[in-house]
Amino acid sequence: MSIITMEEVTKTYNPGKPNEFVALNEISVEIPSGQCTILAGPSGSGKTTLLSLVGLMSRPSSGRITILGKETTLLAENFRTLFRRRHMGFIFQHFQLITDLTVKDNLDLVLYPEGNSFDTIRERRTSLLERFGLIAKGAEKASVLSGGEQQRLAIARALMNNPEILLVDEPTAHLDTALSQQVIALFRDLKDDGKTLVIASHDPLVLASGLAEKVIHLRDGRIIRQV
Amino acid sequence: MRSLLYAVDFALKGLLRQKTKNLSITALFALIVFLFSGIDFMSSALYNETLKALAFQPSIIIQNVRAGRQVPISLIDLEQIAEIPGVSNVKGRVWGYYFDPFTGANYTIVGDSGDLSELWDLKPISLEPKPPDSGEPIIRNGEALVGEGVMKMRRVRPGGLLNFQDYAGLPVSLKVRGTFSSSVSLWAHDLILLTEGDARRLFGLDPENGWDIAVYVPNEFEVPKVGEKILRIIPGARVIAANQLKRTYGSSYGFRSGIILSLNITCLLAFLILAYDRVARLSHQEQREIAILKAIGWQTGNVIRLNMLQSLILSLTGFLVGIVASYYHVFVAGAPLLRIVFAGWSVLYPPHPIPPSFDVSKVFGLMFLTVVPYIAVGILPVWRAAVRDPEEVFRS
Repeated sequence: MSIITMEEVTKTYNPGKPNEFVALNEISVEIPSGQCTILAGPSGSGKTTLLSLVGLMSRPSSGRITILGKETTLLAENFRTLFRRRHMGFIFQHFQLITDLTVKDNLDLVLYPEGNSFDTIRERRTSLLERFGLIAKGAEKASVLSGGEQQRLAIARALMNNPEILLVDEPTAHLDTALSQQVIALFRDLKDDGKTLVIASHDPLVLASGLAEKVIHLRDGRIIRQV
Repeated sequence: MRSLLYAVDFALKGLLRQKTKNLSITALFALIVFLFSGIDFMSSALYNETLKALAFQPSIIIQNVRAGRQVPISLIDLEQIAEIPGVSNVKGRVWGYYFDPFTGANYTIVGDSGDLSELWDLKPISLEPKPPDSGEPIIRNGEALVGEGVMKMRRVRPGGLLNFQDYAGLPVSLKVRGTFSSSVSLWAHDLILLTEGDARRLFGLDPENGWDIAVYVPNEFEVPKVGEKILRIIPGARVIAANQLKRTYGSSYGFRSGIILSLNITCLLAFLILAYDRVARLSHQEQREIAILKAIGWQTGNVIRLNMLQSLILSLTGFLVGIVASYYHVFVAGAPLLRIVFAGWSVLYPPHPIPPSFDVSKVFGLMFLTVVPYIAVGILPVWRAAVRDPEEVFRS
């Protein structure tokens, strides 16, 4: 059963201008629930754009995107944000942490708008910090963490709201082989927890890890193969 | 409510991340508020003090004028004025100024005609206190009550001697009997209170003349009518009603504060332009942080609320610092930076002169004119950044 359905989705940047660029061209995709799907392809193939569209962080130029049975294309900005907060976690290629805030604050920020009790936030934060081996780093600023620690913090932040869907952009792009394997192991655990993972990656290590049930190969904004 | 508390918490953390920048803005904000509120505190406190003092003043003052200058007035008509219906009391007053060439100061000399001390709420700190019901006058010929400023300038204490020269250059020695309570120091700082006889001797004023005539009319509605009747008795006299004095003082302080306020408005505008420039153009880093907050689920309203809270904390802190500093400057330190504007030509400035008195609504008005615009100018750029797709910001 698919949790995300994209129907003939096109995304054009700078439409009508000399620098118009079609990043995705009439893409139709189904992402199965509780499984891992990898979006593979070279740089500029449209992986990150597809991930952003699924994460409701940008709007398609045409086509429909249905997530958890809800047609999201025409949702107003605030509902898109609310939907993202309630159902999705996003792990960015460059982590996108607020680096001069502490590790704890980076995590707490996710739950602030929900108005959860302080105890709830602390419990959730502590369990994630323990799980990702960052408990001793809670009071440190994110800027002083190593690349691997920042990656784990970014994963922990994406899980703070306990989302059904986890969207991951190039998770191993800045990591060495050992750290990459640790991250892949983490994703395997998350899949075992029942999360739906959508990972954009062109790292052969990820592709060969056996993590994904489905691999969608993209090139120049089009799907060239689905396995 | 809880999300608001979290927003406050995060707003504070956000402000602390840029300590130098935010402290500079707070200091600038405080300076603007200090300048504005200082003028307002000073003018309204002085005006209120003036009104208090005028409450003890006679309803009408009659002056004799020649060639546009005030000259002594004959007291021959006192009885006739006293018979005007509505008049409760009439008396000639002897007072004037004495320029002290040694100190370069002007003293106000007042001849006590018996009830003056009661009218002016003077409280002598006597060397030998007399019981209030003793019936004896507070001072006798050859004695004086002097203001603190005079004592300081002439370096004299109660019991010491003050030496003057009368109008003819002859020496006049007065024993200092005491000074005035600090509650009237604003008015009594440069004051020397003598007996009427000594004052006449000093000024060369004969007993048939006074410097002006004070007329007391209990019913203020009768004042204009009484004034008309006085003019019939003494044609050509200048008749001044107390409410005319109030208006004169009010416009005088209003004029002085107006000049300074108009200069301050320039400062305020410059500050608002600076504030607008600061908040209207968000840095790429600020836009990126807003995009991160959006990406992790903050709605546009959450982001705007955070920005408003940060602006509120910053501007309110600046406002409170400015108000407190201004209060201290005017009402505790004696307004050293503003006295020159309001005190005019006097060289004897009161030391702790201004009893605290200000209009709360004006303070709130100033808050409305500074804090609210500061918060408001930040909303639009933050809203513009917050409604952008996070992906668009990350790509830029």
